[in-house]
Amino acid sequence: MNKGDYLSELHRHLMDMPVAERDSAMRFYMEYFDDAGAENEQTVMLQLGTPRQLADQLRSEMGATRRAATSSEEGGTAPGKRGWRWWTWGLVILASPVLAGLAAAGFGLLIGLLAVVFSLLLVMIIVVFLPMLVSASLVICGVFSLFTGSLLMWREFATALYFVGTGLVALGGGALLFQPSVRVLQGGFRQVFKCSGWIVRKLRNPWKRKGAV
Amino acid sequence: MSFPISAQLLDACVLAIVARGETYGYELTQRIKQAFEVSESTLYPVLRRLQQDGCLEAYDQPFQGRNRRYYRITPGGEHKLAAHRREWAAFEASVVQILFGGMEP
Repeated sequence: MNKGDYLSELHRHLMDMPVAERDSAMRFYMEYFDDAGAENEQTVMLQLGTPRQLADQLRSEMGATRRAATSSEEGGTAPGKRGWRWWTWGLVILASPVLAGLAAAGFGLLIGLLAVVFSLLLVMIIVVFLPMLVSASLVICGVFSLFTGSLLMWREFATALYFVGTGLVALGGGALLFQPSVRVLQGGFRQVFKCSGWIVRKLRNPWKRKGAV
Repeated sequence: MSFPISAQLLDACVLAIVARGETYGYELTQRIKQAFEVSESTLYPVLRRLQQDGCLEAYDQPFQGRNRRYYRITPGGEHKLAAHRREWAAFEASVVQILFGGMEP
């Protein structure tokens, strides 16, 4: 373990301290290592104990100081702190209708945003499928029209002709549309996959830029 | 040293050292360690408490490309140190009286 490891572990063990106190203690021991010199690094660590022991000791001694300060007449800071804490809770309770409203609004906004994102995805999928769908339905309609026309051929010739013609037009249109729709489907799927991948990444880490990965 | 060091005595010694000249954490710790067997980790809480009580002031001064935190005594600290000295003298006198009373030097 070197100085850096020791100090970062100490920092981790002091996480439950107020920020100002933690910073001040960290500052002291950082300087302590610096002043002891690199050659005494291991000795200092040995004498300070493990980061955990040091953190526990600091916490208990500072806690003792705070208790002593609270019980003496001069210790004005600790009761003040307690008062502040009391006030904060009071304010939180008083503000709870507003806070609840804000939280609900935020939640609603989030759900709405998700809904918009997913409906956009759905629209994209539909748009990708649309040409294929049109092509397929044209072919099916054409086949049915031809079939109907052929059944009517000996009874109502004009109507049969109309059905056959319409069927042929539909079949032709469907066939014509088939090739491009396949291409749209392939390209579109790739885009949808890319886009949903992007959305998932954004949802996981909204602030990360692609370049900063 | 087999006698336990009280927090008050440690406070008094830290104040006395700082009163003799401005000093920084590592140096202070080394000097205290010359007199008592204290763990290196106990000095920081003492310094912090003395600062909170208004007996010491900390200030930063550049040293070899970084800032070093020095401590100096305040008028309140001087006052407290004088009280500690009086109490120590009385304490010492009574202990000496019991331990060595009636013995010829």
